[in-house]
Amino acid sequence: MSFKKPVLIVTKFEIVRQLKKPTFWIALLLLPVLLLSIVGIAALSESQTEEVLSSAQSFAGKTIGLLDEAEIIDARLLTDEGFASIVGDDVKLRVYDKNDEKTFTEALDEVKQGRIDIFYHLAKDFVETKEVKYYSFQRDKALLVNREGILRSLLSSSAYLQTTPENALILTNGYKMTETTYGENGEEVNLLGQAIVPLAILVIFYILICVFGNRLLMSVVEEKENRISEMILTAVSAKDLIIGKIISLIALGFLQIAVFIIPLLCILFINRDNPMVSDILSVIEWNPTTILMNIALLLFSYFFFAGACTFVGALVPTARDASQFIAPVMIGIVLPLYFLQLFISGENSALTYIMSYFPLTAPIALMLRNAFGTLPVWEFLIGIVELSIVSIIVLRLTVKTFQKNAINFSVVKLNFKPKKRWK
Amino acid sequence: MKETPIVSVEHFKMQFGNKTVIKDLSFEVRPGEIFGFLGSNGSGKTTTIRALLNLYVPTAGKLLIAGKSYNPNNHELTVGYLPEERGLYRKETVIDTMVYFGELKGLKNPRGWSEKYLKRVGLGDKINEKVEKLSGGQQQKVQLGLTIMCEPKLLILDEPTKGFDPVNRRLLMDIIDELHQKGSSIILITHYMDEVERLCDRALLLKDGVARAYGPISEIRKEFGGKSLDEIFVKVYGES
Repeated sequence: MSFKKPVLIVTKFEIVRQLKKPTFWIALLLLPVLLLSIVGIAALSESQTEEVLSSAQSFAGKTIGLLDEAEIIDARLLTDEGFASIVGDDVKLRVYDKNDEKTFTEALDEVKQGRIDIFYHLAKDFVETKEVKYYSFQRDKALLVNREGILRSLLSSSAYLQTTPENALILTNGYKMTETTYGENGEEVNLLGQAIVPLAILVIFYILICVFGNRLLMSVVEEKENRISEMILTAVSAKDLIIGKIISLIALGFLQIAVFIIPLLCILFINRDNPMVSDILSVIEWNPTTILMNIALLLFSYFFFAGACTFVGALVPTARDASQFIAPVMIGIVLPLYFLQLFISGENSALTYIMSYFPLTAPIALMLRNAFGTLPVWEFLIGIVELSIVSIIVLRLTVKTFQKNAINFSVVKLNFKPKKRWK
Repeated sequence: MKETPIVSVEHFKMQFGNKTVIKDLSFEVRPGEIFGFLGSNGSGKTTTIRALLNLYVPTAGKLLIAGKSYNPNNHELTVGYLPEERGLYRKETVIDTMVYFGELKGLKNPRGWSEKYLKRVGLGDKINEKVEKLSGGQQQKVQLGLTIMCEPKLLILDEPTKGFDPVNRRLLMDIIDELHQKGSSIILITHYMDEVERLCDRALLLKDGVARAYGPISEIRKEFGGKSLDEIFVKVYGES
């Protein structure tokens, strides 16, 4: 793409006029509030998901291993009937011998080989340390959000059945759970830690589409609403005008990201010795490949989204008329968020592929899959190529539509009726 | 050698779906002349101008400006167009709007030119005012400024005096006359026949998608038995 002078003039004009708008700065400052709301909603939905998944159904067919060296879990719960009363008949329990020193190593090997799905270990000093360790295999991402569920049920039931009042207090949530997940080659992996930064990039994309969707739309509708399109198109070509507008809003998007990210990084850096901040930082695992892949997906997705919004803007004469067209675009973009579990699990279902390759749903579907390590590089490359091609097609359609409709001040009517071929 | 016409339209045809707006239209505008482009509402004048400026793709025919298809990025030949449907960026200041257009049209000092023009048309104190705060007449003066910046070689004015009071109409006529003196060619679309008779060298009367009269004003009048343009207009459009 050659950045001709008219494109730069349009870009500069659009950036300056957006910066002069109070609404732009209000949106900029409200960004942290919006982000917190999204995190809040996500946390809420996760707790609801956890509740649902605590049911035996999500553990059906799984094998749970347990080594209770502290002898804190009531023995009645470890019988077939007792265990089934908590998690159902479909979950197998394997209780390891606490007197055999080799047991722990053997159990870990079985997790690494995928024979045991989750292995809970309560060490002898559990009452003092108040810490439970559990181990799982990466393949079982379906259990990612509720791997603690069964042990929590066993411990809380034990609190009612036996034990001292002090222990009962510990067993009803007075303990900490530490997880270790093993990868395909038996190496330790930090699934959530790896996903934090790529997910943050996804959140940035989400914020960009929320904040800039309307601006992108309005920037194209405005010329028509103000009846200036006929004059402007004799001074600049439709292509240069549209490209200039898109570049300006992409640049403003980056400004918005910078304004939000830089203070956040500064706060984290200044407070790096604060235990809470250092705890958060220690969890984050920086995987450059995954992060770069999600940044690339963010850029290409935003370019596609910008094209789609401007296309809608080019199609309609006023912003009010745009709502009927923009709603499907927005729904399509956010739809994959409702299938979060599907993307986390890495399940190769038809729905996963449809959403990964359907242009509207592809951005969030691909970013989610990449964040949780279920997106192979070849699929990532296909996604990038597809988004590029679709973006260029949408951009060309936008230019043509704008050119055609720029001086059409009436509502575009879509006619789906077939033409009569007979009289 | 024959001079290249500033505007050349050959066998222009324009259809929108099944509706034919222009059947077969050919005419030329010569360099330095004021050309009256006449016709009733809906006769196809604006459609022809839009096709000439590449805003519409013609169904058939060739429409050229100085021998070339119009391209806004070509600053060698500047075109100023004041359309009938005209507006401005309502939330922008007068000066920002004018500087933007000036830059797009390749004007060397858009701010300086704009300030000078605004003072001339009595808007010197409105330079930093938002467009939406201006009256309709004041906005028209700004639109005219956007049209004439860069001293265009071709000026197309679609009903330029519509909504102007007599004082501002006189001011507009002075500006048009000034540009004409400097060598600009002008296409004037108007319903005021007195303006055409007073200003135009030649004219074209469009009806039902074809030229019903075309040539120097004196010859058109002669053709219709020495009647005034007003009477000719009524006669042509009174015919079934």
